[in-house]
Amino acid sequence: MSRVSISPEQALAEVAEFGRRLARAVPALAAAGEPGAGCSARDAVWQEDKVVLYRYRPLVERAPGPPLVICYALVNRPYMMDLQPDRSLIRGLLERGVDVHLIDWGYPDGADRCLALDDYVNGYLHRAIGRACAASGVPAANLLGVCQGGTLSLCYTALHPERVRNLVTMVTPVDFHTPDNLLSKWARNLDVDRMVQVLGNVPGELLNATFLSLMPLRLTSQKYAGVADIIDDPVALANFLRMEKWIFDSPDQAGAAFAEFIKWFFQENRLVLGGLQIGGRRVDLEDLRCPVFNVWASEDHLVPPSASKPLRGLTGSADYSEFEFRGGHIGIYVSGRARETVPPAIADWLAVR
Amino acid sequence: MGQPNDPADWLKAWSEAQARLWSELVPGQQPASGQGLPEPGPAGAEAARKLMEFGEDYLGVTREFWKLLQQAGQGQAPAAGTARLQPELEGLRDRFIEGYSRLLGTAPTGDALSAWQQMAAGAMPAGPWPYAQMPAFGPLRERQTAHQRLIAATVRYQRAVSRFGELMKRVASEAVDRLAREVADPAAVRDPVASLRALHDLWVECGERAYAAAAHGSEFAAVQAELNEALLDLRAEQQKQLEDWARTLDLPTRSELNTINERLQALRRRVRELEEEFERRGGGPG
Repeated sequence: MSRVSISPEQALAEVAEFGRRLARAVPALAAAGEPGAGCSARDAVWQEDKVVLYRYRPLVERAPGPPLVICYALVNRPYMMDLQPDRSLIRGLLERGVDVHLIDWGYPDGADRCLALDDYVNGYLHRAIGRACAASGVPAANLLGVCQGGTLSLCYTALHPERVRNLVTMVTPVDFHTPDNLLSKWARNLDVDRMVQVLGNVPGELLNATFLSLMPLRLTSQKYAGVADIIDDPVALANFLRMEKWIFDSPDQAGAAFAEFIKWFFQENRLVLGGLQIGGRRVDLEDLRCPVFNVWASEDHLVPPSASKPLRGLTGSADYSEFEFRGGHIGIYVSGRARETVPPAIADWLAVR
Repeated sequence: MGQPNDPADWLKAWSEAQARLWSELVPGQQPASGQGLPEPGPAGAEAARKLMEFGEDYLGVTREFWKLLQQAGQGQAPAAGTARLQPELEGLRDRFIEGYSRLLGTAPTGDALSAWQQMAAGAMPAGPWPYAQMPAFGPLRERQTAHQRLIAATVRYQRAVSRFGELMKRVASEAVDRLAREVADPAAVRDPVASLRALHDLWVECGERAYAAAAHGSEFAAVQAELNEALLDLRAEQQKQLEDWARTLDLPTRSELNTINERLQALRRRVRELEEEFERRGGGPG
């Protein structure tokens, strides 16, 4: 007895229908045009090298309180936070009066290959936060770290506690050695010093291939078969193309910082096991005493919840809260459910602190 | 014209429908087995070519799977070990290998070349190297040893790719076994697969489970690491040869640029420290 019940007539009809849809796809894709990057109005308020700090224009009257600085990952581009009006975490925060700043790390090139984590954390991030604080006339900012940017934000807050009033971490890896973390298992076998010595900066394309190879059939076959389903829906098609642009718009990684990140976090798990130093200064999460709001995604295949949850108990904060989003690593930024739940959760949490 | 009744007739009708689709997408062109996809032309043709690639991937998998079920006989589940069905099972296994290898370094052609392979492509020495094993001596000794290192690195890389390919074959076999079990699972009959899309989803699901089981294992990590290191070795040898050549012409090399970069970055850090110290001491402009 087989569970497959497809008649030959049905199979042929499906092939024909698939063909008709694909035939409509060429003009539909041409009509969709080039997707944009980012949708909310903003101004560049500070720049150093390729790093730019943006401040978003308010959509409602700004609520009192320190500015919120978003520290995105070095991997991928930060416009994911503001992809389109109905799928924008930033817009959701702006609508609640949050004064949103965003750090854009830019696209490192060969001249940046010696940039180390010290340059990113104690250099760019420190000065960007300093700029945001100075503009608002406050001594400390709220910091929202996303994914790898969350890990960097944890380090920053531990090193510069006086500059961070509240810390929000989103889909942030903390414990890199949990059994379900496939990326971490692969990274542990990497001779990353040799890799950086030979490649210099690590190509974004290579990282993309690695991320896709976590689920190769789902991400390179099943996803595109699904395009036939949305070919008559211009909005869904535009959403798909925008996501494709973001997924494959991957900056190269500055070699030195990449090597340090892989070794110290993925291989040696120093944030949990100790021994982490950035710029010659010890990073101890016990030194992180400001309120912490840890947000993770239950279905995250890149940063499994098991990697994020251990933050509880590792910091010295007496005010630690958590929020679980039911969805994946991408859905937490762009799904309709995320839009309804994540920005309010963050804004409400910040509002009372 | 009457409806075909024999499974072979249905498959022929399927193939014809698919061929019509390809010719509608890109007139005059259709993918032939082993011949790759049409060359990219103008923008529309390029979009069509990509769609054909995805379409061929989807329809190809479902066609192989459905063919297998038809060969096994309607209402019967295909057993992975059935000799009569070996060609069809092999076809499905090949589809899994293609799917896995698209990104991981053993894909055969065209766009499917992985990022790793693309980087390696320029590093492959061409032609035979008769003195690969010879001890080096004489005025060209250094050049010979450099060539020998390049050959050794190439061979190492090819072996690593081959080893990875073997692993992927095993994973693909496991995926086919899973697929056969899933189709035959009496407990799953209440959850029938009633469309080609669902058939494809089942293929993906079984493939991902087999892949994940392997990918979390130590063998996968070791094979992947060896592939990585072999490629880096190959690239390093290529870079070294290029640098030697550049030095003879007094051209700047990457190594020299790296040294300058490192010195510059160290200087910038020192300036930053001094600026911060200056600020701490209450200094300011004018």
